[in-house]
Amino acid sequence: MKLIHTSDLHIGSPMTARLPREKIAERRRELIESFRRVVEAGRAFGALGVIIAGDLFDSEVVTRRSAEAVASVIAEAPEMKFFYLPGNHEKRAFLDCGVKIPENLVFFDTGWTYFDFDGVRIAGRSETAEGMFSSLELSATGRNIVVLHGELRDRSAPGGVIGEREVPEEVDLLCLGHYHSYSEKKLSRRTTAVYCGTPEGRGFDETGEKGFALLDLSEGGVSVRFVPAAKRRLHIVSADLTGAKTAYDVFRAAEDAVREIPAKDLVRVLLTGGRSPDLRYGTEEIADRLAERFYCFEIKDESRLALNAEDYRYDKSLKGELIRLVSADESLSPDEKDAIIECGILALAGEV
Amino acid sequence: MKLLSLHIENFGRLSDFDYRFSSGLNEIRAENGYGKTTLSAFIKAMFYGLPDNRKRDLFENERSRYLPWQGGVCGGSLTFEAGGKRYRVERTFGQKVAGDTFTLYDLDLGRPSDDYTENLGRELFGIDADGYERTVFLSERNLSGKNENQTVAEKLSDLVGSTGDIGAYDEAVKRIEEKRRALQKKGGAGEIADDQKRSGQIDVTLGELKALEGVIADDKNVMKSLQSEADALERERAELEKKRQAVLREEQKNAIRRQLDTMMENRNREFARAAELSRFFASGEPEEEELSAITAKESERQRLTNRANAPPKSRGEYDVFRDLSEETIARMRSVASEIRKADARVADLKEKSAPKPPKAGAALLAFGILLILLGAVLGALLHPACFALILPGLILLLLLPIRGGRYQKAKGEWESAIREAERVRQEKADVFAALTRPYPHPACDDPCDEVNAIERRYDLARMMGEDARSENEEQLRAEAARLTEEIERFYRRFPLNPGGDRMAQIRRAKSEYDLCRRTIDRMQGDIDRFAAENGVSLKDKTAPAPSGGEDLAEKLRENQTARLALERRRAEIAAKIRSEEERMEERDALIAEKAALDESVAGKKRELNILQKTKYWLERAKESLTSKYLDGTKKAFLGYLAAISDESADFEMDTSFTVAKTDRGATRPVEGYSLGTRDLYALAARLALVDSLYREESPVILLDDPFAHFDDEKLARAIRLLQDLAKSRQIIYLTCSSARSAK
Repeated sequence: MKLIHTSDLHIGSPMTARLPREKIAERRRELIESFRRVVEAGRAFGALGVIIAGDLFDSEVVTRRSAEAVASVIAEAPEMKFFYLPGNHEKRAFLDCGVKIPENLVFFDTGWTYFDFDGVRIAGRSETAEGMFSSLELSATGRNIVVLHGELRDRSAPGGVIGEREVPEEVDLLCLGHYHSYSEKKLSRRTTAVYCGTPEGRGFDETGEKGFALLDLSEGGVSVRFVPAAKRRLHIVSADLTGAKTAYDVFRAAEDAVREIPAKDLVRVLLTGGRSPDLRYGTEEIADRLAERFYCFEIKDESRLALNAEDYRYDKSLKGELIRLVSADESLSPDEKDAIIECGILALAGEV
Repeated sequence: MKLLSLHIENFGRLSDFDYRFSSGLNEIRAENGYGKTTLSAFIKAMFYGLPDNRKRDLFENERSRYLPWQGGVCGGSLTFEAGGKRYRVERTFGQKVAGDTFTLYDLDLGRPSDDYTENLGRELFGIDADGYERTVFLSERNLSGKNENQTVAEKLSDLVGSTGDIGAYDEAVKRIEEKRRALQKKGGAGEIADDQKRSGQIDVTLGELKALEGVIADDKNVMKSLQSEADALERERAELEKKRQAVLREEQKNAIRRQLDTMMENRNREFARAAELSRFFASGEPEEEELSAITAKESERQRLTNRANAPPKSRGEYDVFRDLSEETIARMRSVASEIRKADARVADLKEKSAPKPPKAGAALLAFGILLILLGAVLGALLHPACFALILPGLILLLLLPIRGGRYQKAKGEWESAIREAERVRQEKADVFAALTRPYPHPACDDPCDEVNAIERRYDLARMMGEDARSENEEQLRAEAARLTEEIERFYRRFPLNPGGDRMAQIRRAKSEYDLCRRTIDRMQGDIDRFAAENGVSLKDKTAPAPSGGEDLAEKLRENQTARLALERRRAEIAAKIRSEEERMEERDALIAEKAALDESVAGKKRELNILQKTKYWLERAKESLTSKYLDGTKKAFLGYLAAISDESADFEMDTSFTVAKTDRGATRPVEGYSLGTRDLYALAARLALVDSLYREESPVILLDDPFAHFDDEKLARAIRLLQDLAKSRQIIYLTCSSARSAK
């Protein structure tokens, strides 16, 4: 039997990527569509059920529109069973928002809740507690899946803390939500803990592949694999300015860094390395030229001024004097020194 | 660089003035008002021109001051040596700069030179006019002024460094200041304040949206409680409806029972009527055969009586119809029908088939004649070609008989058809007359009516004719009496009304009795079916009408009103929640905007901080740079001071070359000292500055009576210094006093 394991869609959360207003609305819709995409992929894989390990919504404020959209996705897949664990963000907001709950949706309560599904016991609880695993009732003969939302630590505790050492050996899969990137951890010979991650990144702190976990339970064994499913990926790439002599060199460095990235994705370029004090360029110009190639494009300048005060020892100009004096001052931080020197050079060149 | 000679055409009070310079000291001693200051101004004007005529003060406005008092061309020439070459510069000055002229001649080559432009002084000395005044031109008036200016500083930095960026310092600081002011203006304005203000507005809006979350949650709770109310109302409605349905069912049952009662009543009425009718037929209901027999007997009796009473001739009248047969009558009818058809054909021919006479015959005739006449006249009078009109006229005339012939033929044919149809009709009429003549009958227009009359007589004849020949009157009456006896016997069985048609009464009663029985059967069937369909037993009685129906209806209406009101309220709340949630959707954009603004503010604050620090450090760099040559200048100053006085105090010189004296532990600017002392320090500073500025080439130093306030001792020393200086550079010394002569 196959099951889909997903979590942390955070539908309704604010977009942290800098997007224009119309794209924010579009991206919000895409978050809801990511759920539909996961369900459709599950159907294509022949999955019989979908485990939602928490944070389907971002908060307790669930708009009717979002709730209805999610409910319709579930209702449109009546052949699949949805096992929903309300997370720490949303609590019971979806269940209590007044939208008709589809019949193929069941949910885990605050205490251990059990569903026997096609020979597999699926247990879960929306609130963690100290010693919670001691009251867990598992199937002695069949497969056992436990669904929780929180982080793994040594001992269980309230507030989303799951004691990995306390997980019974009879558990085949510990399907977890909370972290937004996929990871697996073998807890025992039989037990594997899986964070499926979020199926769609929302901000640049969620780069990399996003998707869901496909669980395959058979008499022969249990397997888990990650299935990429995100419509758009977020990328942070670096462009080294070291050695660049002109603004075009800088642009080329940025362009090379993003060359392989698909147009539908969101990109942030970090300019790094040491730049010459005589190098003139504008991040806005680079953004203007590259932004149209991607869904979202940002550029941040984290490069440092490549300056050696020793090189200016014999420079009798005002610029040289400025560099020597600023470099020698111990009350200024290195960043401040770079910034002051660069500003001074630009000012003397009439380019401030 | 060295001055050689000058010629003043007109300049201030000087006119047609010439002077030849020598190397070393050139002393020009003349009384006040001679024009010494004018002379020094002329020299400066030859190098730098005269400034634009802007200042109102005559003293400040050189152009106005030096335009010749006596009129004439203002200007002159100056010959000088520079870079190993000899030049002559010629300038004239108008009321405005646009009216000025400049010419430079290379005296060695004897032709105009473009080695220098009209910015001669700047190109030659590397300093502007103001800088020139502050350095090489020492007068009593400007001695104590500030020595530093942009070009002085530039020149000094050029001497110290290899680039001229110290000259960009002021501009750089200005730009930094502008940028800083844009970021942060006084009074809380500026880009940072704008961003912070907008960020604050967003905070307020986000706060409102946050509060709105609570409002939405409250509204959703209201919706929940409204839902509970709606559920309760629905339960109440269901209960009321159930009761109402029970009442309705009961009422319906009663209605059915009432209907059944009515049906049974109707049936019972029929029963009563049937009972009444059965009494009529107490002696037995006659069958139809019996009734027909009685009717036949009555007819027979009447016939017999009629025959017994009828006169003979009335019988014989119909004898002729005894020979008539059904076939003959049919033949008559057929012929009559044919006559009808022939009549119709004739009428049709006469009315509808008449040919129409050709139209417009007269018009064609007239037009044809006109064409012929026209053709003849025009052909005779105008042109023979007009005769051609005669031809169409002839054609038209020929058409007329053709058309008339066709009509006549058609008319003949039509008349012929009518005659034929009439002939046929007459034939039929003759045949009909032959068939009907033997049988007297009334005359009719329509032959079919005649046949009908004949047939009626035929029937009558059949009725009367056969028995009348063989019977006698007594037999007829006896038979009639017998029949009467039978008939009366029959009628006595029933309670009939005397005087009416007894058979009709019996038939009516029988018919009614039949109908009644059938009605009873039908009604019974209906009753049974109705009872079966509605599940009612015939024994059931109508129950009393159920009570509370009105109450229930009223309560249901109230319930519906309440539910409608609740539904409206729910719709309002739902719309409110939708609107609030839509508003919440702007939260993302606001959060993103605020993040961008906060980042922008932080960035701009960093930028502001950097700008302020950059300005500070640029100032320090500049001071550091200038202080590098400041030491040299200060040393030279002390040297010159020592040459002029015995001052042994400590002195400070700032980057604007302003001197301050440390006296009894306190450093005081020299402005606090006497005029003579100030002039002394200023002279030393100026000379030191000139040394610093012009290390490689020695410009002409122009001294316009700078020692006016010196005491004798200092004057002597100053003169000695002047003489020493004259050994290495050209000095032009102007004085009005012999006491201050350097010779």
